Amino acid sequence: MEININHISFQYPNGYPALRDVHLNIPSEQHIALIGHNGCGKTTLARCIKGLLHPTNGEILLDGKSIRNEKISSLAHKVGFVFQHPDDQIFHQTVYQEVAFGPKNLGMSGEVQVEKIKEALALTGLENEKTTHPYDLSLSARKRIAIASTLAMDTDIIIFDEPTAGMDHKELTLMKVIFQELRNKKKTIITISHDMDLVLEQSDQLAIMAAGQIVKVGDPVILFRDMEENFSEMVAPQMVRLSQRVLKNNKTAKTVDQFVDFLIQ
Amino acid sequence: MSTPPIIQLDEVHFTYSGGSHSALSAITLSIQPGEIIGIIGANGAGKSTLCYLLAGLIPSFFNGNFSGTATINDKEIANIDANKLPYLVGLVLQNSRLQLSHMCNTVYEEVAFGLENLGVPREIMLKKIDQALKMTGISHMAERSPYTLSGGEQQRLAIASILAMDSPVLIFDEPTSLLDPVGRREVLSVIMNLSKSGHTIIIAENHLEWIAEYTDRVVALEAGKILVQGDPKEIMSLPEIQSSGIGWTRFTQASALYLEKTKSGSPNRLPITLEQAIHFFQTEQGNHGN
Repeated sequence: MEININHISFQYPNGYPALRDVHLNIPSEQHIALIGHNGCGKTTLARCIKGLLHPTNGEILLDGKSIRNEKISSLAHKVGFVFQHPDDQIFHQTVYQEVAFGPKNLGMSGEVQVEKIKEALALTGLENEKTTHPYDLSLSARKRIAIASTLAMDTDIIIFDEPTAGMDHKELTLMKVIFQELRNKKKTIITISHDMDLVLEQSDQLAIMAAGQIVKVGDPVILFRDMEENFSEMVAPQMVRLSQRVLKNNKTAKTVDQFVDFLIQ
Repeated sequence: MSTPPIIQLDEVHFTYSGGSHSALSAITLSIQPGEIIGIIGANGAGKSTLCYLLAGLIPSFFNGNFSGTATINDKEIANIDANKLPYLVGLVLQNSRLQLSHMCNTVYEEVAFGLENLGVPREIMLKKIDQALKMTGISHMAERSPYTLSGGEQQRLAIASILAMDSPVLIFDEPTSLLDPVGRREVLSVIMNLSKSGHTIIIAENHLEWIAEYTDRVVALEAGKILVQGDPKEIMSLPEIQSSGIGWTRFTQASALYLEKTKSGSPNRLPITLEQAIHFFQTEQGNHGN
């Protein structure tokens, strides 16, 4: 599903201008990453796409149709949102009930529901925790519950707000599998992240935000390669730094595999 | 060693009450004053529990089955009064929401909260608060409500409220997991400065490259036990670090994959840091006449 963000601005009731004339096109099936300092407006933008906040000016179109007058319940069929803090979205007694909540409310038929829930639990490694109370699990496992409950709704657009914060290596590997699966399913993905290594590996397009505006959009490899110009005071992803020092002809690898391929070519 | 350790753990076992397995088992660890120690481990390996133990929350605050000895400055941690503990050790939690008092209306009051409870004289208190706010870069937010801050700002506030108490030993349980790269760098550089000023620092982190570059010693945990400990620039590319779910830096991953694909013999040690990796690949490329 294509997303057009058409010159939107957003002002919080206290007058704080969180978004200022943001314009961005996200083609269908693309994985876009939003990066920028805390407080730059990434989460506010994501909330506007999810319909939780309404832009003060401008509009957002999904497949060409404005969401301005669309009900939250109807948008819920199109846009899934994984919150940064899982505890903001977890309120059931068991993992299964939690993951079942979304599909149930979307009105999926019983069979489809069971299928989607099963798939989401398997993908997030929670199939053995169905009857566990979410708060008996660790924070990172609760994060996976939040991801599973969003995946189970099978929306065309999925927004992840800091999905990998606090995850260890094993969970990161799992997250990459989830991204791949979503790609196979032709989902449009928006990831807000501070993990530059992850962003480089996973995203097709990178949007850099600062003070409520999008200051740069483009190919993550190219933007990271010109790191100093684009992100003063940030550390480039590991593969970019290694590529610059080891590879010839200004080649820059996105992933470990690609780096080794470039090297032994 | 000539200086006595500031923290000494001997054969520490701990099981949370109701827990089915030991959260920590057979932990023997000696920490010298001024050291900066990294704790790594997959989630669930015991990093947070070890932090709680070192911060004096076990066995007094968390119920459970504790055995072995744990001392700070030669005093049994369990026997230190709660109001004396902050003068020895401070803990910054992973989740800033759990750290904040939920009783203060401004950032300034939040940082003052701990000091007020300790009955620190006003003059000293004001100085310490200003220092802590400055070191964490949140002086300009002093009059804002803690609950209007972004996640990263809130985490810096949590750190400031601990720094204000000025304990010689500071424990950080994944303090940067919610920060942006700039915020993370600021906090980590605050931590490095605290280390340089003589604090003993213990930091649990999933950010392997930082641990490798900046800690004196790393303790790797697996299922509540110490898997291996030593110089991070030497041990973090061991196979067991990868297999325990801690993982390798991408520099180590790239060199391991390179050796596998080129079927070269494996060197004594795979690189861990960027500089080590550059050296490794330059040597390899040289050897293959490329």
